Amino acid sequence: MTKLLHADNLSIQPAGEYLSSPLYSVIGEHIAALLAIALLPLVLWAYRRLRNHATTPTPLDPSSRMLFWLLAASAAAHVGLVIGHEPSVLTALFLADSMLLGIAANGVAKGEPSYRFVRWVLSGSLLAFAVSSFSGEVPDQVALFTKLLELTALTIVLTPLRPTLIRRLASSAGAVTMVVLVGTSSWVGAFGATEGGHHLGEVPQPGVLLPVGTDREATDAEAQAADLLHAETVAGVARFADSEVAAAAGYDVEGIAGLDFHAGNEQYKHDGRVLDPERPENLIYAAGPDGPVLVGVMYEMEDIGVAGPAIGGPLTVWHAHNQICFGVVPPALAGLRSPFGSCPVGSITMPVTGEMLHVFVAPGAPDRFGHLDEDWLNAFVAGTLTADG
Amino acid sequence: MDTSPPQSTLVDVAGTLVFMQGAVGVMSVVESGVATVAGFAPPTNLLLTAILTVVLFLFARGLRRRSVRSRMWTLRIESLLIVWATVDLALAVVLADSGLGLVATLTRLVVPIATFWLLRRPAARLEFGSLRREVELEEMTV
Repeated sequence: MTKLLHADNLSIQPAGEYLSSPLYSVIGEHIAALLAIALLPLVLWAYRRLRNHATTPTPLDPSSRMLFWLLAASAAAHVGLVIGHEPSVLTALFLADSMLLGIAANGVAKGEPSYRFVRWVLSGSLLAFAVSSFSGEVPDQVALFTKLLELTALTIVLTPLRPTLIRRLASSAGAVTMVVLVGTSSWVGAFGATEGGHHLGEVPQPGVLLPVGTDREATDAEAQAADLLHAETVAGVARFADSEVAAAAGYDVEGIAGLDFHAGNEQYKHDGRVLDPERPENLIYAAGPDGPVLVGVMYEMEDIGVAGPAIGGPLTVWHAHNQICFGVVPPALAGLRSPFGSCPVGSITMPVTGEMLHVFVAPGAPDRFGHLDEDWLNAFVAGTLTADG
Repeated sequence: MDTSPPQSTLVDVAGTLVFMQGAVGVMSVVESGVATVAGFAPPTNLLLTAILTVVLFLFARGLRRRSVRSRMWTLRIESLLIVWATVDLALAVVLADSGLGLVATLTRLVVPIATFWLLRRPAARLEFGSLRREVELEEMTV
């Protein structure tokens, strides 16, 4: 059998630029908002100088001072959003939000805050964000940063003056509910905006990095190379349909569960061979009713920052992962980094992984490379697919 | 108006920050729970995250009550969180030539450092009673 590509005949190229989910990046339209927050202290200082000390600033206690800065920063961010976007209904809403937040901040600065008003403004701003995310808008880092400021401000204004157990519990529950709502809506927005595939030009899922580029038709040579890779892979791993054979070859097939269990082979991951259809770095199994079902393989590059050979051009787009939470005890995947920047306790954040490519060997798979439709896979594993797939 | 103490101190600000860390922890528990139920993450991380979240809420409450023990343990937890975030920062710099990201820098470095700094200030220490009492308590727990 022809080995497609080995390290000795492979030209190793550094990975180029990646496209990441907006959840973990700053989108261009929001840079003005970031600048507005950064410039806020300077603007306020200049404003006070211009007023020429005509009025003595109201002394504020630390919580009120913090509340003022949080509200003012959020107001500034919304001004930046107005500047950064084309005029639309959305920018009008940003402007209105900015004005309301500014009025709230001004009230706090004067020592005459109406906390009821502040609560309404903050709740409105946070709920509007949640609705927008639930309807498919992906929040980026600037949006989440601004919402965190607002959530902290909300926590302050929800703190009861005359605390009783019930009031404290109610205010804490209110603040926590709002944090969970903002976080959940961010996930929904981030996953809703992606098509879930691994094609050039798509908005990647959270945790997926795709090379920057636009999708195009494959050339004849690329299509032939992709066909060859698929055929060689199907033939090369046929024997691993029996998971015990795979175990004997060194694949970790213990505990196969779910639809895309990746059984890695530590030896093959460090053998210096790339795209070897008889020695793929990982096998992908699904747990079927009658035992494990071999669905595909995942080729993996040994080193981070090295581009995988996309021999089929746009048909075989390699991807990497970012913002992966990796548990230390026990060593295992622990999830994706939260929109609020944290990983579960006991896990570290892997900022980027090496590149990888899925090749699906399941007969009739609608997508031979990249990502397999979950509904199709469910039907395939359950054995309920019709002849036409 | 029925909210927010009119004469709060820096310790109250620290308490708010610790509470927010707990609230973010709740979100992390939800995420960990989903990952665990989906079967691709072990329950260890869920358990540890839940414990830390509860502890943070208890400390936030303790700080409001000016509990010396809460202050002392909050300082220790925040130190641990800063060290853990520094490890992640180092990984990001070495592996991806990047930083932690805007939000993570805020929640994982700025907030813990600010909380630590606020609770270490002399004014805050005074609010928790004399330093001698603190030393005695530390000796008792050791």
